Amino acid sequence: MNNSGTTIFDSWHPFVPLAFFASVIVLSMAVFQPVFIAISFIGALASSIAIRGWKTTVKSLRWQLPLIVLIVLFNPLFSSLGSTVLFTVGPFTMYAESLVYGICMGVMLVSMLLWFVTASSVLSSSKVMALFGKRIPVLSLMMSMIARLTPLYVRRGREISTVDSACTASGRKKASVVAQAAKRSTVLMSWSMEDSLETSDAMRARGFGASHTRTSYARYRFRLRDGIVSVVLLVLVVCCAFLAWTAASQYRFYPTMPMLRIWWGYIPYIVLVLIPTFLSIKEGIRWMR
Amino acid sequence: MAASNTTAKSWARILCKLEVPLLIVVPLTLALCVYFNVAQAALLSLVVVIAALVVCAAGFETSRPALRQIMPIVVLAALAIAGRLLFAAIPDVQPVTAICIIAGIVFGRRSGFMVGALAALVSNMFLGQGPWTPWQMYAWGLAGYLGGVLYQYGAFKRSWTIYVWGFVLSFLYGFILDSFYVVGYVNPLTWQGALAAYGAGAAFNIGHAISTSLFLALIYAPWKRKLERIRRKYGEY
Amino acid sequence: MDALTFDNFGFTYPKMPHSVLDHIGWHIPEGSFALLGGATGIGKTTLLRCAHPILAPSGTMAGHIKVFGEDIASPDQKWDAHRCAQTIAYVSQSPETQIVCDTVWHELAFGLENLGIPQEAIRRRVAEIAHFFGIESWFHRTTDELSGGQKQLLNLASVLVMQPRILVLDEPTAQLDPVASKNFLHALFRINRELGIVVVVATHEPYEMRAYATDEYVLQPSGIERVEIHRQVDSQFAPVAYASTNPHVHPLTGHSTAHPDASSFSTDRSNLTEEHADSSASASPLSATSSSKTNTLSCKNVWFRYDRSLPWVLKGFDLSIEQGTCHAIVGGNGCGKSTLLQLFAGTLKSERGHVCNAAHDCQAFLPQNPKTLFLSDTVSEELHAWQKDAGYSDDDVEQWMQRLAIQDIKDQHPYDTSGGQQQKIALAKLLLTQPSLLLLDEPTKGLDAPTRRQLAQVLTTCRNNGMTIVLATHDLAFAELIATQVTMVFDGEATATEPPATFFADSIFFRPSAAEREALNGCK
Repeated sequence: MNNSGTTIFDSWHPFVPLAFFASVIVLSMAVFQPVFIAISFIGALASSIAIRGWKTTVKSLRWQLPLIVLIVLFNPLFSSLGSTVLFTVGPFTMYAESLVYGICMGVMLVSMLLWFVTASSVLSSSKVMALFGKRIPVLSLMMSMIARLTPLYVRRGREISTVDSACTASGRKKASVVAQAAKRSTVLMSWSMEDSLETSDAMRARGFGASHTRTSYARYRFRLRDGIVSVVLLVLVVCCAFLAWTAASQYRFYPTMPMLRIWWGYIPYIVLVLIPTFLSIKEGIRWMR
Repeated sequence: MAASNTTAKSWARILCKLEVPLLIVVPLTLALCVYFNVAQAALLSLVVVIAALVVCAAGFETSRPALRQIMPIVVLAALAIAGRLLFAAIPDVQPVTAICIIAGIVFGRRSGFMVGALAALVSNMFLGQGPWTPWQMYAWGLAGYLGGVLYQYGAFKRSWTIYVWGFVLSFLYGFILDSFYVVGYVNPLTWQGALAAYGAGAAFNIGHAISTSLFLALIYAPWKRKLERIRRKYGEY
Repeated sequence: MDALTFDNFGFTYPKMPHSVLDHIGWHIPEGSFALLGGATGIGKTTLLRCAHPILAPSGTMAGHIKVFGEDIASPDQKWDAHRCAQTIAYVSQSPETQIVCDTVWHELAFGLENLGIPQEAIRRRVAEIAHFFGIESWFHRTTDELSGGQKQLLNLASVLVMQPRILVLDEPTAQLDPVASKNFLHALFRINRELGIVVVVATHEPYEMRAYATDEYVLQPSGIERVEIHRQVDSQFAPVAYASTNPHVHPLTGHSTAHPDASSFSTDRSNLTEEHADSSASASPLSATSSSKTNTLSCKNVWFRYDRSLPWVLKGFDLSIEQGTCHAIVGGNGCGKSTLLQLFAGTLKSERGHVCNAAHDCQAFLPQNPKTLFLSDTVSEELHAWQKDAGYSDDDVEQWMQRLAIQDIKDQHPYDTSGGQQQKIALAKLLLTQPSLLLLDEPTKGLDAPTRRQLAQVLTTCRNNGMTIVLATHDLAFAELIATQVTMVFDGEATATEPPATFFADSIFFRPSAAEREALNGCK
């Protein structure tokens, strides 16, 4: 819900970052090959640092790294397969192949999480709604309304709890957490629902339902530059997808893993995932002067 | 104008008929992915669940809903999210599932679905989006949808059936969310692996199920009464 | 031509035997700024809503309503939402409930999107209106983080963006604090004079708006009556009024020579205490202890902030409140009045210093919005809600309903009652538990003078029975009427604590205006 902070994608139409993040996320999910996974992870980490900063990235890694460890251990323990035995503990046999598989899985999941958080800090809700507002005007309005009401209800919920616990003269015994929550939520619900009747009056008075087609006010314009960038991005993504498919179809984890070699085919993917980092460095140089 | 109106209506009809098959296709895809050991299970199932959500959303959008349909969905979804945020400290206790079920019962299966799906989508704007978002949308949407369907067929004549249903549905929710992980991300899938993955989530699911049926026991009657009053008031428009 | 004409207009709600409005003849010329006064429940809101084809309540109309000469009351004349929105706009009381979208810019565009106006035109109109109201600096904010005054200004801006010719407002400033309220009225004034839009305002506090209005009317059971506007110059800065600051002046009668209003006011105050003197002696078990001078509340060097990253709200706050007193806490917006009440109640904990509350286990808290307390489906159920735990009898409930004049509505849903009635229901619910400490947060917000006066009477009786009352309020006239001590909070400190007479005598700016006093005391 980043509405105020500026990001390096600000000067582009929101379609550009959406297309970028969507294709990177899909590629990182689909391509299960160690080198591609590593590239995606490095790109995700670099983008997250470039866009959200060092501190936030490290903070989110703090709970993501244990997740990797968990997944890394989980896979070889329960899906033991492969040919190179590392060691045996009781009924569990640890194979090198399934350990590598687990590592890849863990790294892939974490890089996907990183891509997701980075994407949502670039694509604020108003940008997403600007993209879909025209296609789904009613639903995007509803999302806007929900986003407007949620903080209000949280505030009111706290207020209700405060007042309820401040009225000690009513002599109530301490109820269980859930019972208390249920009662307070009922107060909140009827308050909110009754208020919504007034809101819908205000909406009707402002012409809701007046016109067959609702227009959508978006503050973003799709310019020629956005079009060109989108096409370039598309070409790059298709290129990466083809190369990744070639690489992944030649690669097998089980029963034995082939050796990985240096290959020019990784370069387009490296370029793709490092785009936010390049942009950020460019911006950094401009403001250094 | 008239022409676009009729095409919109016929679209709405088609999309409405697609709703049920697509909701069934999602678990079916997961099952087939397991059976045929599909390599791209994660991506494939994601595509299918997103398609199901898009069709349901389009069906809602093209039906040109009136304010009396829109407002309760918006308020209940926002309440569910507020509840999720207010109870964020206690991992298993959240009222979202209970609210979705009640929404489906009082305002019909479609509204129930929309409450669940929107609550999941918008709450993740506050809590963090991820590959689980569409699955949460689907699972909570399904909770609302099934609540509406079962109520329509008179399944909830006795109130204890609702508490049991809340319990079952919370497990279903947990099962769907665990399954998307198990099917997509545990490879090769062995029964030990699957069991361990489901087992890891079991503690959360039990907490979720108990809190949901407890919530339903406490709020179902007063909420239903109050919501029906609101429905009546909106009916006066 | 008249902008809005009611011609022998009458209105009856469905299933009601009597009409709410009858024989209304009201002409509002173009370019005017009309005030509509009248007692609560007389039908001001119904009348104004009838003038808006979309918001008109269901019921039977008699006579005619003409908007720029066109009759909208006849059943064959159906205005569509499109035309309606571009002719007549409506702003209601609550700033919160009228906001639809999550961001300010989206809220401004909402109405235009509904009308299907093309993108470029929306862009331009939103820009213009944002400029007119000076919204640029908060254009990208989320609507939830705005202050109450900003919210109401946004509501005004987002109906004006549709370019209506008539603007109808129902108690638009009732929920705002005094500064925000003045600000809002100034915006209305500019809309009327600079843009030539007809402004019609229903209000029970017309004295605030007289400086801007061109006409004033009062709705009475017999019909609409035009009244002469008295543009009284407030004696705010008159040097004679409060020149004397003699501390030995009698707190109730000392100002009778200095200020013309003060004499009538003082007698009013003493009436207030005498009226219920007999009832106070009879009932409560608390009355016996009222003479002893123990402190119910005391706080010493209290420091508080909501977060480590946020500034201090209270910085070394000292105060002690004796039992059986009524202590008013006044101060500007966001000075920490509500925070202080919560610290007293124990729902917030001070970071440094100590709050001592002798009545911690027997207190009640009336929040700003009475809806915070409503759980039941009827008023009577609501009042019985705490019966089992607090141990009061059915007779007590009957008695309180009678004292607060809410027995007629006891079978209604609390949400179907008016704002004033809701406040009284909430108060009754709390008083039934016989608290020894009553904390009130803005108890008079949005209430008309008779209700405020009734509240003052009830609270004074309670105090005489030994209850300690602490209220945080912007309503200085009310504070003057019921408080025994007034504390001003500024910059996290208690800057002054004095009895109301001395307090307001020493204040140059911070005191109720003559008009406010008159409004509170001038009615029965």
